[in-house]
Amino acid sequence: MDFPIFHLDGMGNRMLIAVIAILHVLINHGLAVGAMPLIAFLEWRGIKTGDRRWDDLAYRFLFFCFIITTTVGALTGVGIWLSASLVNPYSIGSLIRIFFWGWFLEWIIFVTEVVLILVYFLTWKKWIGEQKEKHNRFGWALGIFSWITMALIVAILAFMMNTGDWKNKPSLWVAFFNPLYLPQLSFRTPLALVTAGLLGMFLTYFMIRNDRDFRNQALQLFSKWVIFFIPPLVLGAWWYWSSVPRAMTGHLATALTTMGFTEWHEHLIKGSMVGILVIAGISLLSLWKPNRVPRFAVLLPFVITLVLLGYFERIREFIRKPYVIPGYMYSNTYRLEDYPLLQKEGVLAHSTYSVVKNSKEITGANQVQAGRDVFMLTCTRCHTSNGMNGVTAKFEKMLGKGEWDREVVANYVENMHGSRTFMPPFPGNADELKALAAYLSQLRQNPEKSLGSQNEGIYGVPSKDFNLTLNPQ
Amino acid sequence: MKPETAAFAPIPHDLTLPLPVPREILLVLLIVSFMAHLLFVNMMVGGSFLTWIFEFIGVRKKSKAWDSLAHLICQTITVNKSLAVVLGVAPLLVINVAYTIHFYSANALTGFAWILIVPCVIVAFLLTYAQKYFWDPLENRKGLHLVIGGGASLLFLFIPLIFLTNINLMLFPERWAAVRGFFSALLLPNVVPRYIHFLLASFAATGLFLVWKTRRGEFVEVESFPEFSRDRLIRRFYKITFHATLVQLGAGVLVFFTLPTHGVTLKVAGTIFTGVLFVFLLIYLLKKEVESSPEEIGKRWGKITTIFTVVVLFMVSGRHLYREESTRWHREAMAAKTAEFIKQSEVARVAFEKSGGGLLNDPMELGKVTYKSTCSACHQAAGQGLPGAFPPLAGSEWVNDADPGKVIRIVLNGVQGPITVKGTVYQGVMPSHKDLLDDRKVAAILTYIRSSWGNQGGAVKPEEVAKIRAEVSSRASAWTEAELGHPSK
Repeated sequence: MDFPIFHLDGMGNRMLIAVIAILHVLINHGLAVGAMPLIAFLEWRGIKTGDRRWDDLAYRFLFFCFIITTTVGALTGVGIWLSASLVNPYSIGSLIRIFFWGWFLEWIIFVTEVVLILVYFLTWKKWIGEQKEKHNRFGWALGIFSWITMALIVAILAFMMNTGDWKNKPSLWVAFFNPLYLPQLSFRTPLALVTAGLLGMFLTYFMIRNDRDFRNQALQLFSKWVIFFIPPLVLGAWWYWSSVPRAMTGHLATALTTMGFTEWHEHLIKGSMVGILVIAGISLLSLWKPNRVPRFAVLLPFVITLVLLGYFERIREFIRKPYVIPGYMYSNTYRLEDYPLLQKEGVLAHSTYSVVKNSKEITGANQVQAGRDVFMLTCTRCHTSNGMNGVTAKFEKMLGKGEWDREVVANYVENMHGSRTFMPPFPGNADELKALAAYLSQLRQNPEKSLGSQNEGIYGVPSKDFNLTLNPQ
Repeated sequence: MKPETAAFAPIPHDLTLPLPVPREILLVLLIVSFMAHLLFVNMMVGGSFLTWIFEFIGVRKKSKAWDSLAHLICQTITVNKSLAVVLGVAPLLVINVAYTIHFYSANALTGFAWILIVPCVIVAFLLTYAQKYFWDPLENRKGLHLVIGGGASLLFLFIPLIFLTNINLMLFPERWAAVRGFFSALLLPNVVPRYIHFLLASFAATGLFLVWKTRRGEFVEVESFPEFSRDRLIRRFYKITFHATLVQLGAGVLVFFTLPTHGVTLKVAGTIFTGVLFVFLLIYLLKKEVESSPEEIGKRWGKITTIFTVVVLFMVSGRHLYREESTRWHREAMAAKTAEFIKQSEVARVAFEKSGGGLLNDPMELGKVTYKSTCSACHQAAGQGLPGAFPPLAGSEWVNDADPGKVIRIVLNGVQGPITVKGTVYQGVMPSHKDLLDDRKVAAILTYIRSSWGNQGGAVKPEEVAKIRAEVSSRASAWTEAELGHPSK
């Protein structure tokens, strides 16, 4: 990766993206894709029954969703771009080049969605009487566009994880035939609808304050909505869950064998079952005894949904490993086809931002520094030194707390991808491997924090030039 | 100073994938989408300031009229901000593609500030909503309400500075080496003048926007106040644009002359100065409009807005040409380096394929190679294992067992500690290799380890592996020592 390297050594770079992305997915699913049809349904019910209270409820619900989606929702969406491109410019830059028109189409649909929600929300109190039905149709249209946005994004995500066939078949249509596409979509759609219903149940307490009778009616309606979508949710989750390993063995052949994955996979099915049972239980209780449900109980399934969603996204990301773009680029951001060159001449020789410029310059004295450079270039996109997913902890687990033999460390790094198949092969040459091992083994005794460009500036400024001024004349 | 002669100017290599569309199309897309984005950003920022200022005047003068006007302007901010965000995604996407290295490098160098954009904008937007929807509930607590609106305005003041700093920083790779985070990048020439330029433009654009709103009758609510009759309102808004544009003349000169000169070519200067000619025309028209009679005022809005757009188009184009010119040397140097890299990579790849293409037919050779890549990370190069972590294979009773069935099972499904090897108990877990290695490779590895380092286990045939693989095909979990049974020597 030939960029100044942004690096968060504590929380780890991936955590930054994950926090932003999960928040975004939750809001997108629950408050847009799921909530818009629910709100249009409430409005429609108001029209049919002539009971103004349904219309008020729908408006209040929309108000909440409008505020959150146009602030946290929209900005976390942009935030995925900002964080992913900070952490991994080479891969995100390449992905944008490959999927340029896919993203462009996505953007156009996104603009439509935002315009529709503005219209739907801002005309609520204006388009009344004869115009009410037209207004309601906008609500349904908004629901459909929110769903299309998700369907398209899921396709792009699925496509990105495809066998690496994008080079031969660069049509986005291929994405829709990805083995994971339909399972994912049929999981996410009912999940979004259920989440929206749960949110409605929770918000009912705040949206209807005094009219207890109507509050119970609303609770029961939301419960019915949730219960109605539980069977498709179970089916969708089951389909997705059972197609993940197949998709993985399909193109990676290996990831299934990793312990970590097997563990996740098991946790996931157990977690999903518990989650869905809790959701169903609370919904049934609200249906029968709406007065008996403590208001924060409905938050519980909401939290479970959040955790499950996080798990699913984690797995989705895991499927890619050891690649970031299958068949083209490893997760360390080095391209497969450059490996022969890099493993011969070294990564330092081809990086602009390193203190040691070439593996030929590595002497005993600067070996640790060279190793630090190699670590920054080849490991830090996923690992930290001592923080989240830290290398120190990984080696401690294998080699214990004593001193680590450099040769053992080097041997491990050189060959780990053979059995830890989620790891990419080490891209550097033999001298760099030794330097990396020297750096890693001294990390135990000397737990330094590795800092990124945002703190230290760019690497590899020759020391005699270190006192550069910003505005030389 | 020529940038090429800077003390340290990094020349990285670029992405090797081709651009998805010709660069010219990207650049047109960039300018068009950026202008649309900027328009709404300007109206959002200008609207936020004017709302606050007018509300403040309302409080000071105890005037319901000013307060109502502020409230009306406040309604526009949230719509403009939603469009500003959604329209901002396109230029972000395009600049990523057209200036990949420059844009991303600048982002990384100011990383914390750059990612702070996300929470800052969220808070600013939430405050704007609070300002809008608590206007009436906080009627009697104006101080608190002004703090909310002021918070939003201050954030709107800060956020564009991050963007400006970054898109300025990206133009000057020759200075990247001296940058230590956002605040030092802020000190580069041109950042502050350009920021002032942007703020003035926000007021100018918002003035015209509000004239449009007034003429459409959207401010009819306040027109009953004598000081805000329609013509007076229009005049007031026009004056905002007029004064902002007058000051802009001075600010513009400052912006132009603080530009590092290596990017200022005749084309850049020509484009900008043509724009300036239109600014004079704009000022002339605005002056006439401000001075015209109550019946006449507002009629030149279309003409003025057209000229305003032309000015913006020239300025944005001039700015764009400057971006191209100032980075030209660097983009060319980078392209040369990238081409060289692609060539070197190709040569190395061909050589590698020629040398390593031979098929490994001999099981011992295949076993040795596969052992190294698959097993040696843990069991070490000479099968000696690692005390306390990984059991040895050399001299292991499991490996030397006359019947290879147990080791075949272990390789296929993995094994879960505790397991005793050569009298020592190991606690680790060995992963399954079922999907990773075919029968031939499992047999080759086992043949290799059973005949190396003093081991005497003997060869294993692929058929033996196939037989056991079929037997255990439904098993997913790792073996335990109890299930396998410790091999008795």
